[in-house]
Amino acid sequence: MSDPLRDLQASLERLHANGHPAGLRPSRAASFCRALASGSSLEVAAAQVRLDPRLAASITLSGVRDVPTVLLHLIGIVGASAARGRALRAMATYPLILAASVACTAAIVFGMMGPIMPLLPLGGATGHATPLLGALLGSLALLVGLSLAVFLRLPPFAQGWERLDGLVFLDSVRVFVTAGAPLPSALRGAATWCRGSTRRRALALARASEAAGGLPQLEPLLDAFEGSLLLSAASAGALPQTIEALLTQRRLALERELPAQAMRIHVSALLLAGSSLAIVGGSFFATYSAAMVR
Amino acid sequence: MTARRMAELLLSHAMADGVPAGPLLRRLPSHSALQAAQLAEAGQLEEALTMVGFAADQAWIAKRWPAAARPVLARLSQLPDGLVFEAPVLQTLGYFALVSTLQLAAAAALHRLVVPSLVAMSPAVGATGGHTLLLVVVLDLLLMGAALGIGVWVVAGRHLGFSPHGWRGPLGLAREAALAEALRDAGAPEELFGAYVRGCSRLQGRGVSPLELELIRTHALADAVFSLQRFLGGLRLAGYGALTMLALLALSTIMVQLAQLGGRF
Repeated sequence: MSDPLRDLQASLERLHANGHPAGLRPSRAASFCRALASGSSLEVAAAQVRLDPRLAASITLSGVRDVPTVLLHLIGIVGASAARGRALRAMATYPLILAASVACTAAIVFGMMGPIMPLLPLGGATGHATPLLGALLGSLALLVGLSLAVFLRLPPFAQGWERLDGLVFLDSVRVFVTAGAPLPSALRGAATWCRGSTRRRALALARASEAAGGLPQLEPLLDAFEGSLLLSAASAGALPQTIEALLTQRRLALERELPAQAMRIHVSALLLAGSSLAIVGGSFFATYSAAMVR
Repeated sequence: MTARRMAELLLSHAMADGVPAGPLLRRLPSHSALQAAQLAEAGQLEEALTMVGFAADQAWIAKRWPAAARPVLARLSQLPDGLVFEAPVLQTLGYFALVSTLQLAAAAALHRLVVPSLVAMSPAVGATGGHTLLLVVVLDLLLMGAALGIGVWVVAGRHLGFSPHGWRGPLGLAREAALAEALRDAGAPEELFGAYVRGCSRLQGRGVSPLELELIRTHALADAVFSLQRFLGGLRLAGYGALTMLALLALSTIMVQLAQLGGRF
């Protein structure tokens, strides 16, 4: 086994020992590196030890030779992205918690009304409850919908995810370019980390970087200025510095976007939960007073 | 700026530039700094630095490789303080304590002002309502006690050095990795780096590279944040749930009593 592969094996083992999810147990790290040393493709070796298949696919597409170093850098990018994605998904749980609290409160209040009503002077007067119950269910559905919109990256909560995708894409391009890949290959390799329309845009940018033509539509992956800056930096030989500058700006934008998105979700969820509770309270008191007061 | 922080900044920069710590410590305006200067001039630099507020690991590095003192400051400034993690927990606990105090006051007021009228109308019905409101008061007191206990537990963990929270371990690992990165930044010899890593309680692995250190630090920080979110999520769910239940119990008690007495108005 070559020295770089031995180093990679040691690195994967050390990452595992320090609790990094991309690390491998000693036996698996050895098996992965032995497979690479015996000439297996990166995809096959990665599949054997259940490494994220996108790692192997992106490295293969980028065509870089220094696989061990690039693999470790990509592991770092993917790990950081997974942590930010986890933070974004965690935002989706807040409306669900509020929905569960409101549903529980409503169940107790309406459940409590059953035994009380027959004891009241006008116990049969519960006519106000049905439309209010409908409004309550509507509010709860909106809370669950808000949570789903965050989780499924739907507007207006898609911006955080889009900024995260753009950051992973640019960071991967930086790793591939630093490892010596030409820009088109680096863009193709990095496109592996995108999905759906953003992936198509990343591949269109790769094609545009090969053939001198018009810049394709890149939003929301990159804006048009960033795209043209990348292409002109490639021709001027200033690609690494340009990508670094773009990355710094992207990181700052994401750091600003995450708390702003959390604030939007919290305020929307609190408004919905507040109106749901008002409906529950209003329904209860309307019914109760109608049954009590002649 | 605290005296401790000023000493840390002045000494770190001075030592990184090769200035001896003893004379500088003599000029610091505190009694412990004078004692520390005597220790430093007697060759006990590590003890002297600890005396003026350096953390033990920071003092260990500053004594053995003073050039790393400045990178250590830079690396540590990128790590969140433990207080950043404790603040949202304490804020949430403070909110629970405030709401449970209000609930307790409301239940006590109901018990004092409403229950006597109910007892006058029907002793049996009024007594049941009174017992339930007392139960609410007791449960609110228990909730306040629990909030206070958790608050003390969270703060004590930092000051007494034990690790009751999920985020303490990852934060410690991130700190050890950051200090190891600072040693690498300052070009510390491999033997010293190895000795530092061997002395670490969380960071594993001899010969760990700068890239691995960065991966370990960023993952540990993310892990710490996730632990905090999990802890806060559970705490808020339990706290909001308990407060809602108590409020409903107090409300339903009064409503049921009024309903039972409905025919007597």
